Amino acid sequence: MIKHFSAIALLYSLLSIYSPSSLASDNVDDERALLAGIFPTSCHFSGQFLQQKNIQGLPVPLQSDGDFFYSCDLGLVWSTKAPFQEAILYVNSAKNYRIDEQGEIKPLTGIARYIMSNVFVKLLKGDVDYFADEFVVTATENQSIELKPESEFMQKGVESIQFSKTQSPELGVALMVDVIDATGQVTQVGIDEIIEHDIEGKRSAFEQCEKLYQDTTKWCSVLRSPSRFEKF
Amino acid sequence: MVLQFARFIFVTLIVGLVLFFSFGSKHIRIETNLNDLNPTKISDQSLKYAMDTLTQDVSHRFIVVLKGKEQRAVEAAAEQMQAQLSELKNLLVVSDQHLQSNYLAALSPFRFNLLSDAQRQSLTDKGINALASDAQRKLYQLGNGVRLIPFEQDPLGWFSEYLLSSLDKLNIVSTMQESAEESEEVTSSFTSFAVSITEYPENMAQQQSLYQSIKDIELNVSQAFDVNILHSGMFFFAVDSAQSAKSDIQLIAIGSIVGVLLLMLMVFRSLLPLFLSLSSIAIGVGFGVLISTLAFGSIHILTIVFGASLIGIVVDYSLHYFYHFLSHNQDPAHNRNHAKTLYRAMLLSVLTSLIGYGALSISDLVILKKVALFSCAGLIMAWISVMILGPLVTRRPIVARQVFLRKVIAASQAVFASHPRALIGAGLIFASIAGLYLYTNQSHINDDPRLFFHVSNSLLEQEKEVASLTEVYEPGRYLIVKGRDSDQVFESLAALYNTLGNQSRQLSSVLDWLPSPGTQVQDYQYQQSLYQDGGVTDTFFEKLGLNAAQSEPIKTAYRNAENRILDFPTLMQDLPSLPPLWVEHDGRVFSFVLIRKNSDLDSIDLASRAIGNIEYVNTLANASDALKAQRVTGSKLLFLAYALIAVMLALYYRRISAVLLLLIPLVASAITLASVSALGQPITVFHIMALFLVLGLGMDYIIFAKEMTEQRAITQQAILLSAVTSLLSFGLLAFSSMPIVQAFGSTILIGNSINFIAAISLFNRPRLKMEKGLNVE
Repeated sequence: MIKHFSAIALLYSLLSIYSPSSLASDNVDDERALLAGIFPTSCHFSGQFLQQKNIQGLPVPLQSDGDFFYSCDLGLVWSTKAPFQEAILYVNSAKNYRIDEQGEIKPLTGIARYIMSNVFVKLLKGDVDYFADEFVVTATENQSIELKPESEFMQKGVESIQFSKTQSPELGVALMVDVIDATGQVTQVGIDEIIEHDIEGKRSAFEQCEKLYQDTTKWCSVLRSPSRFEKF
Repeated sequence: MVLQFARFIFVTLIVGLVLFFSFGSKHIRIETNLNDLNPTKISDQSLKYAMDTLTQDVSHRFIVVLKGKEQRAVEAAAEQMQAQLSELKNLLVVSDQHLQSNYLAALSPFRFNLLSDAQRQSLTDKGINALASDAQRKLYQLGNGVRLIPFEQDPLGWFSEYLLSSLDKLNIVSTMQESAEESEEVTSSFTSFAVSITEYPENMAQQQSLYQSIKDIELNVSQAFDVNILHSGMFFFAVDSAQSAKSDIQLIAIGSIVGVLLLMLMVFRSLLPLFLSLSSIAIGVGFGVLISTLAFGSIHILTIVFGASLIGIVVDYSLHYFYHFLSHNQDPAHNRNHAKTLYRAMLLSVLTSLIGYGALSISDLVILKKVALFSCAGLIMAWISVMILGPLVTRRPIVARQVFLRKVIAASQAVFASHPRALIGAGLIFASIAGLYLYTNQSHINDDPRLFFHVSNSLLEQEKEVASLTEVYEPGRYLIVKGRDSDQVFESLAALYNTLGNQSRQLSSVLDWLPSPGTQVQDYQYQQSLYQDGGVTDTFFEKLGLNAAQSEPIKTAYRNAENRILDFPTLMQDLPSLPPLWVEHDGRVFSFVLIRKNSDLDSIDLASRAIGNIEYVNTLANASDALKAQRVTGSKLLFLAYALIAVMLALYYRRISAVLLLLIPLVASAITLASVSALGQPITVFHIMALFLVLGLGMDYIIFAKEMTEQRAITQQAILLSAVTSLLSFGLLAFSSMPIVQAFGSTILIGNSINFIAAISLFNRPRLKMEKGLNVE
C-alpha cells in the first residue's frame, strides 16, 4: 500500500500523520504513560463538545457546540448544533464528508480532510504511539500534558497542543484540547458527558450510531460504507 | 619565396601556440555537456533558445531520495542533508517551504484577481447571504481555520482556499511516503527533494570536486541515520561519462604515444625522427585545442577522446617523409624527381584524411562537428610541421632498419599477396555476403540515443528507482505553446484545455501557477459582490457581530487593487526555483506544458495538433528520428564522397579503371559493418561516420602504394608503420567503455586492417623488388 500525503498540508494543517520528528527520546515510556492517562480507554463512545476559536485579527471568539460519536470501527460523527447545524463525518484519512443544514452530504475536498481525520481521530482513538513518536510530551503544573512537535518542519504548522482531563459528578469525564498553531490561532475543544458503549464489531457500532442519530441514520450508512455512498 | 612565407606563417603560429599555452591555458575549458550528442536540429532560433533554456535548467537540477525503515530517521536525515547541501556554494536546495512562502508572498497582493473554478461557481450560484454563511461556517470548523494571511487581509478565507487548492494541484511538495516491499513485506519510508546547481562547474576538476562533496555528504548522512540515499540527474551522468572519458583518454593517449615512441626508436634508433614525430603530434594536437577553444569556447571531453586517436594519423606524415625522403637524399637528380612524387603523395594523403575527418562536420551532431574541427586543424598543422621541419631534421643522415618490417610484410604477403586475384575475389565475395547480411538484418540498426551513453550499473539502477518513486511527469514529453505575446499563449492554452476537457488535469502549465491576465481581470470583477458595500463581507461581519466600519479596510484594499495584473515573468522572478515554463526571446513567447505520468499521450498529441501554435514534443522519439536521418544522410554522403574521390582518381590517373581502387575501402566498409553487427554492436550513425575515415585512411595507403611504385618495399614499410600506429590508436578506441567511441574505434580498426592488407598485397606488380636506399639497412 502506498499512502500519499501532500506535505504542503502541513504548512497550514494542525497536525499530520506523516510529520517528521527526531529520533526517539529516552523518556518515551514516561511520555506514553502521560498520554495513556489522558486518552480515552474505550473504543466506542459518544459525548458533547464545546469549541472555541480565537483568530488573530478577529476581536470576538468563535464558539460552537454539539455532540459526537466515535467508533474505532466506523469513524467519527462531529455534529455541530450551534450557532448553525452542520456535521462532519470522518471515515479515514482519505474520506471525509460534510453535511449542511439542508442535510446534503458532500465530500470534503482539499486540505480540510487531512486535519481532523489525522489528529482528532487519533486523539479519540487513543493513539499513544503516534503522539509519543511525533511530539515531546511533558506534564504541566495544571494537571495537563503539553505536546510540542519535535521536528522543525512540524513546528511550522503547530506550536503546541495541550490535553487535560477532569472528572466531575455533573459532567463525568471531561477532556480539554487546546491547539495553538504557528499563526497564533488558538482552538479549544472541550469534550464531556462521555458515555462509553460496551459494544463490539462494526455492525454493533453501526447500530449504536443509528440509535444516536435516529433522524439522520444516513450518516451512519456513509460511515459504514463510504464507497457505496459515493457510487450513488 | 612561397616556402619562406610558409615558414614565416608556421613560425608565427608556433609562437602564438606557445604563448597561448604559456599564458592562456586557463582559458582551456574541458566541457562534459552531454547535450552535444543530441542531434535535434531546430531552425527557429527563438524556439531553440527556449528549448535550450529548459534543457539547461533541467540538466542543472538533481533529485535526492532518502529511503529507510524508520520514517522519522528518514525525515531527520533529509533535514540534515538539505542543511549540508545548502552549505555548498554551488547548490541551492529547492525547499518546498521556501517555494510555498515565496508563492504566497507573490500572489498575495493580487489576491483579488484569483478564483478557483469552485469559487467562481459559488459566486454564480449563491447569493450574498449564502456566501456569508459559508464563510462563517468555515471559520468555525475545527481544523479549517488556519489562514495563510492574516484575517484582516482575507476575512472570507477565499484567497487561502484558492492558494491551498492550487498548491494541492501543483504537487510541488516534498513527499514522505510509505511503501511496502511486497517480497519482504517490509514497510519502508522515503522522502525526496530537488537541488539546483546555481553555478555549474566550469571544468572537470570543479565538477569532480562538487561530486565528491555531494558523495561525502551522502555517506555521512547515510551512516548517521541508517538510510539509503539515491540521486538522479544529468549532473551525475556527466560526471560518470567524464570519468569514463578520462580513463579512455589516458589509455588511448598513453598507449598511442608509447607505441609510437617504441616503434620510432626501434626503426630509426635515433632521436631526430622521434623529435619530428613528437613535434608534429604536439603541434597538431595543440593547434586542434587552440582552434576548438577559439571556435567553441571550450573543448569537449569526447573531442579529446577522438582527438587522442589523431596521434596515430599525424605520425604517418613523418613516417612517410622519412622513408621516402631519406632513402634518396644522396642522388640529387633522382631525389628532385622523387621529392616531387613524395610531396604529391603527401598532399593527396592529407587531402583524403581531411575529406574523411571533414565529412564528420556535415553531421548535425555538435560533437562530430567539434571532432571534425579539432581533427582537421590538427591534421593540417601536423602536416605543415612535417613539411617544414622535415628538411631541417633530415640534414643529418638517418638510418632506418628494415629487417623486422620486411619480415612482417613478407609474412603478410605470404598469406595475402601470393594470389592477388584470389584475394580480390575473396574480398568481393565477402563484401557481397556482408552486404546481403546487412540488407536482410535491418534489426541490427538502432538509432536510440540512449545507446550512446555508457552509464555505470549503479547509476542506472538509482535512476530507475528514483524515477519509479518520484517521477510525476512523463520524461522527455511536453508541449510547447508558441505565441507573439502573452495573450496568444494563454488563448492557445485555454483552447487546449477546452479541447481536452477533464483530461486537461493531466497537464501542468503556467495556468496551474497563475491565471491569464484576461482571467485575472474577470475574476476581479467577479469578486465585486464579495467586497462591495452591502456585499458578502459586510454580511459576514454582521453575522460575526462586528460593525460595518471594520470591513472598510478590506473593501478599500479591493478597490485599490483594480487594474493590477500579475504576469508570469514577474512571478518567475519571485520563484527562482521554478522551472522555466515561460521563456520570452526576440519578441516571442514560449511556454512549456508538462504531462503527468500515465496520461493519454495520444489524445494530448491529437488535441495539440488541432491548435496551430502548440507542438507536442517527444524528445526521445525526435532524437531517434534525427539520428536515423543522420545515419541515412551520412550513408548518402558517404556514397557521394566515394563518387567525388572516384572522379578525382579518374582525372588524376586519366584512366577510368583507377576508380576501381575505391573497391578496397568499399569492400573494407561492407565487411566491417557486417562484422561489428555480427559481434553484437547495433549499427549507429557513429559507425557510418567512421566509414568516412575508413575511406580516407584507405585511400591514404592506396595512394602511397600506387604512387611510390619505384620504392615499393620502402612504401610498404611506411604503410606498415603507418597502419600500425593508426591501428594502435583506433584499436585502443575500440576498447573504450563508451559505446560511441567503441563504435568508432572498432569500425576503423577492422576497416583499416582490410585497407592495409589490400595496400601491401595488391600493388606488387610487375615484380616485388627489394630496393635499398643508401641510408636504409
